Amino acid sequence: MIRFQHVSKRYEPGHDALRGVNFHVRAGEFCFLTGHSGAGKTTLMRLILAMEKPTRGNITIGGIQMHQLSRRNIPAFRRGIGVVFQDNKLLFDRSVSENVGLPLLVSGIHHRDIQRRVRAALDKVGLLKKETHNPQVLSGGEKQRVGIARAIINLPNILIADEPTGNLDDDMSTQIMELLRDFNQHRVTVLIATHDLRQLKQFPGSRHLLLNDGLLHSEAVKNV
Amino acid sequence: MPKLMELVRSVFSIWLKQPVSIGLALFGIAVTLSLPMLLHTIMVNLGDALHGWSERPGIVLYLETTTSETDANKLIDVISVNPAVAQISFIDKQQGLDSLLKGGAVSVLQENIESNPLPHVIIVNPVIDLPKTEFDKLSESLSPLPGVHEIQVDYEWMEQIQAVTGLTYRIVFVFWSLLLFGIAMIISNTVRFMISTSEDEIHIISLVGGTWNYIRRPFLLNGALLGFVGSCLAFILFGLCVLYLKPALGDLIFVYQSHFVATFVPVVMLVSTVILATTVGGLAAWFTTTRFLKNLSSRM
Repeated sequence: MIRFQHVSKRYEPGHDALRGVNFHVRAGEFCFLTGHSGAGKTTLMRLILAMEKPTRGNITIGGIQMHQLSRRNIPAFRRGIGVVFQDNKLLFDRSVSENVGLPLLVSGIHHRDIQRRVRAALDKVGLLKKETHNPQVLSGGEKQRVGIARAIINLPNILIADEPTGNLDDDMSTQIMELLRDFNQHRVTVLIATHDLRQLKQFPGSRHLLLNDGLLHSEAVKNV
Repeated sequence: MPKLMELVRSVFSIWLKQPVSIGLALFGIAVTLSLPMLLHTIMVNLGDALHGWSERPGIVLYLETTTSETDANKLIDVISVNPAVAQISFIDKQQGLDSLLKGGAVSVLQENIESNPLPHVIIVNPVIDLPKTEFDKLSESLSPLPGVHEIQVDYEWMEQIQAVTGLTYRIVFVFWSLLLFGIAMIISNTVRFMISTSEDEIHIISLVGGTWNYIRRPFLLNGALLGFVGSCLAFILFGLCVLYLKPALGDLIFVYQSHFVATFVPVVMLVSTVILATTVGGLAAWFTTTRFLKNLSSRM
């Protein structure tokens, strides 16, 4: 589902964010990507989302060779991937349901279908009663759940989350992680970037990729 | 319909976010567009009124003294179908005599003649931008017409009119072009400001799969709308300026004892101003948004 082959990313001479990274996340896997700050987690996520191009190597996402992906096809490619951000990236001049329906709106889906699917997604994350609220009035955990609902509204095959519990307390973090695990049970490939190693212990059997200074440590590519 | 509502909402939400900067931009566009309109009006009216060129003949046909008024009218019908002719005036022999008598110089003659010896006269004004060769062709085609005794041609007058009209239009055109460029700059700058306040939204839309066209659409509409509303405001501003200037212009013309009929900006010019401003606004917004998106994708 997600395959990196000898992928390197160099921003400037002498600064390699990723160095010859090789891994393969299979369909339906629940995978953690860990590493200290500056280890290359965000760069790896940006490469998956076609926000960056690798300096060297090949990336294949859902059968698509990223180096063959033209700028015109990037939006359609991104619609197939759900993304959850640490800072939610919600629009505060729109309601909860409008935020969740945004990926469908930009895809040109009919308004009635959008409403139906938004309600289903909000129901899944337990926020149906707050669909008309402004995200600003929601708690941190609720905002993150809105972000998750937006990420899954397009029924993506891949869900990537960049530090999804970074700003949340332990209870709320557990709830969010359970939610992501729940989607994984429905054959969605989930890749979570985190620096919190405690979360790994909550999900035995999940895959763990450890990045250190742009290198993927081989001993980490095994089940926890 | 909901998609249209969404588009309209996204456009006006940008306007509501920055009412002062949008207001200033609209005022700037209105002032910029009203300047060439005012210039056009003042130049055309001053030219017409002070020199009275429109009353001067181009080609004068003196008819045979035996030609009747009915035949003269038939001749006018024949001449008027020529596309090179803009206007035809007819002066019958009595009007001609009355005009001479007003001067008093021929009053003695009048006592000594039994009948009016003057012929009917037809004055042909060619279209204003007729080239010399076409003018010559026209005059050559008029002289052999039945009933025409003599033809008097004044191309110098045409050249004078063409020179002044040409200069007027060139000045207005140069002004217009420069100011349209100015409008493009104003709109481009306003759109850039709109984009900077919506940068997060654009980033999010891009990440959830929004195409460049989707992102560009509200800004394009905004640019076109700025041009459209700005040009409409320019007419109001222009109208107010004309109301203020008209009495002063009238006084000036009166001093020169000229017949003054104020002509304003032609409808074609008004319509083309709206279309041009709207198009320039849309294009400026397109270039600005595309440049921003290219920068964004290289930063992402």
